[in-house]
Amino acid sequence: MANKLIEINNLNKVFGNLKVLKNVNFDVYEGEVVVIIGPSGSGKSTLLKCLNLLQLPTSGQISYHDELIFNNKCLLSHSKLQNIRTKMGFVFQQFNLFNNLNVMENLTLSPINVLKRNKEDAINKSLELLKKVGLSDKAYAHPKNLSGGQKQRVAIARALAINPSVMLFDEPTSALDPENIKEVLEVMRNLALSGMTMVIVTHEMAFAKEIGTRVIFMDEGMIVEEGTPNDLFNHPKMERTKKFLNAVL
Amino acid sequence: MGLDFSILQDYIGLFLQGLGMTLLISLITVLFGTIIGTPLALIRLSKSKVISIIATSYIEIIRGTPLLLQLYIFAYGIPLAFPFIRFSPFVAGIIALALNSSAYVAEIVRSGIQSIDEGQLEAAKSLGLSYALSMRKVIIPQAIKNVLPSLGNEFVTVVKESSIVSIVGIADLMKVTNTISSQKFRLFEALLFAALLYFIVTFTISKLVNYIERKLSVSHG
Repeated sequence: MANKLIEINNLNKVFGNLKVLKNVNFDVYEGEVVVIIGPSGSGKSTLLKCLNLLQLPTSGQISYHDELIFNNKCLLSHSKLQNIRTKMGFVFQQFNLFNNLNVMENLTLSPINVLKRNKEDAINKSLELLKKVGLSDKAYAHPKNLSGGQKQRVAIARALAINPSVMLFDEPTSALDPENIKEVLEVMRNLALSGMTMVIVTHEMAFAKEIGTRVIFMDEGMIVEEGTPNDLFNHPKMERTKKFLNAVL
Repeated sequence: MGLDFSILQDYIGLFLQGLGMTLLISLITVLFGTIIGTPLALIRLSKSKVISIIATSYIEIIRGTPLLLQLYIFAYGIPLAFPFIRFSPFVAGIIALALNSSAYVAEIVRSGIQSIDEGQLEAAKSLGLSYALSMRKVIIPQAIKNVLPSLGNEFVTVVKESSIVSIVGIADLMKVTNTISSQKFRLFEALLFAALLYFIVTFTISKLVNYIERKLSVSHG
């Protein structure tokens, strides 16, 4: 069995009196492509943001590489937390490219300032990554001059630039025009084929079915059902899963 | 009775000296106002309630009391109460103006920081940047750009309000104007000429800020 990368036990997240996550248990193994699906407001994005502690859970445990990093509170110092975050690339629904920096500066900001790589190496690595996402010609473009699909591909390259062990995608195509979705999914598909560990929250069911090694269905803050794409999409066991799939497929 | 500006021509040099002093005081004020005001904005935005309240109180008290009163405190109040503290009028004037301006700059910078989409900070954090580094490299550059017009207005305000230091004897444009008019009994002409000088300066600053703003919006988003 592959190494366990992330382990989550009994995770709860409460906003005011709204329970967003209820006793979620969930592991990620190296090389897996875990796809999380479910209706809006089911807690998928919150779960994803808890993985790299962008949001702090209310209670529960999170381990990374068998090291307990959260146990009802964050166990890491600021610098350790920042270090853990550089192991996980995060891709946002709204891209969140830095508006004051060009594409190259977006990619090299963390490698140079956080990972302390030398500038030339960081630039060369970034050029390589931009080639990978098909944007070699946009290295010195400004984010505002890019289409949505290009922005998201830059955002993926930026997340890859810190050399993460796992990539987390939070509805990466939800903010895109239909004609821009394909190019982003293509980049993600290639990434999955290269063996990258990925956790993807998405509404793209066909893509989930094709690319996922495991699919998780969430509803109302709970993991309702999980399994292989074939199990979950073709032979769902739970009533709620069937109802959701009937509505979206 | 007519106006006679010819009487002022012997005093052009003196007017310009006063104007130089006004510009010097304004520049130092804006410089220190920004140096104090920017961290003040960050402190006000701190998650720690206690720390935030300290900054908020400072800002509200400064903005809620007259600048003239603040000037008197530094020029007369403190030296009287603590005789071992000696300010020159120049230093007292600068301290009062800079502290006053810092409160307004803090509010301008705060609104600028709050206008930045939260996703920017979230993205910076996700890449392992510390809060301080995120602020320095991502948030503050965007915030400053957004509030540049307001900061320019603050500069204009400082140029005008700095005239208050003439009261404690600093030879700025206002003080020089008073002196000249009382010597020559040509108050109206001297005042109009000083107004012209003030206007040229503030108008130039406004245009300069507009220009920088346009340049920035061309090079960035």
